[in-house]
Amino acid sequence: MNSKEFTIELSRRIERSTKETSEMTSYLLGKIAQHLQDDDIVAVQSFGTFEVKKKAERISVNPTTKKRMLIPPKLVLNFRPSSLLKDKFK
Amino acid sequence: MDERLNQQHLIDLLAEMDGVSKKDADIFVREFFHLIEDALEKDGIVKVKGLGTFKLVSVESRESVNINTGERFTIDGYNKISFTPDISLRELINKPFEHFEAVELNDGVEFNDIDTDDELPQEHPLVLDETELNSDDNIIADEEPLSEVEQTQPIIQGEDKAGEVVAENHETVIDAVVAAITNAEVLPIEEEVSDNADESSPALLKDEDQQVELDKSIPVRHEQQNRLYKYLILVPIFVLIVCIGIISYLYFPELFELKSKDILIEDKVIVVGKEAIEKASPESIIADSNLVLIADIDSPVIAVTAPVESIPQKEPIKKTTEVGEDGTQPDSINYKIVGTKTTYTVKPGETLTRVALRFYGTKNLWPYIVKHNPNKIKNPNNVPSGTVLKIPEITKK
Repeated sequence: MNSKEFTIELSRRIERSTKETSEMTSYLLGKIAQHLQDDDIVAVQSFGTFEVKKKAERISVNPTTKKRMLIPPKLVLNFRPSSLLKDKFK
Repeated sequence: MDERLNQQHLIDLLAEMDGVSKKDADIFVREFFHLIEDALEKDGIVKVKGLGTFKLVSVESRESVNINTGERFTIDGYNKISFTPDISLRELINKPFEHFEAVELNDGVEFNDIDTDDELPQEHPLVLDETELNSDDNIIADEEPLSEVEQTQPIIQGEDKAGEVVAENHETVIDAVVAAITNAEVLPIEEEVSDNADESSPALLKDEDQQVELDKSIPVRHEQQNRLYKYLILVPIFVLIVCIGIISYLYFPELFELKSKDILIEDKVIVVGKEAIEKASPESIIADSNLVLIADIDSPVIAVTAPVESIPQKEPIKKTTEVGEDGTQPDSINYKIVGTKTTYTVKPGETLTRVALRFYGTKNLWPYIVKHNPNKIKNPNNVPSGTVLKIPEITKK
């Protein structure tokens, strides 16, 4: 299901127009993103938690050219599903 | 702001939007996540623009062993939920590090603390030292004495923004940053830049992570410092020992078994020895043995006795020298002892090689003297003056 379908289905469920739902979606996601930047964790009950994790610097070798590259550290977003969700799909 | 944002908070935040009531927000947020769940169940993949993609990944069953009982059992296959953030979200989150680039490493640059197949000693052990630990507030600004200032600039700006938020967590932050610096100490320059930058700004964001990492790094730093100190001490000591060895070798050759006897006499006598080889007449040999004696610093007295001894020695001299050894290798196999030629008292400062030279015309036959005087010569390296030796008569085998 891609984004468009998602928006359409969501708008159907909350009985609002797609335009409105897409606005609300982006607003909500904006808030989530902002909070992640500031505080690293967003936990949604029965769904899962989104976490910002830091990946350390590392050296990796390009197997074809054999050159060694220093990959800088970075922050990545991590999602850990809640147990309920995990069980649902087992 | 609370550290964890939960669903209720999300609802409250959404309700702040124009035209959205609390009730609407509540319904929206709940449906939002439920939909993701349902869609995932239905399609196995859900893409939400601005957030990312949720995918179901199947994991096949595998065998495993119960650690307590040791019996084998099967872990059944199941479906994992995987999440890949959207590009925009990814970049937004990585903002503190956005200016970092992957850099090609030249040969010879090594790092300790990173996952890599190479593990070689670090190059810059103690660059960021106690000075950093002292100045709390200036750490972030001052820690880059090295190049790549550009990288630090955006970091510092990033920190300023975060700084307001973090004002409350000041102490923990400083601790983290300070500890972050000590972590950075472990790594050499190139890494320090990115490491410091990375430690300082995310440190503001993520205190707990840092503490865990830093606890590990501090003992590592100490280990490495200790290792370095050991090297710094051991190397000069080793050099000193080598120097002492060389000096004693030069000044006390008797201490060294290898060819020392030969070496003393070598310079003076080889020339003479060669002359002895060439000349065949008894007179010349007498003259040569005189030469030998004169060259000998320590034994002017023997000049008297030498002519007497030199005549019977003529043949042995010839024979010994004809053997053709170069005069440096001790020889104890090519000849056999057939009797005693004469006796001789060792003079002060004389060695067996000198005695051999006197009687055989060559240094390398001293082992025969030793063989012939087992009770008198306990240590060939040290035959005290006054020892009376039987000089064997030797013939070539």
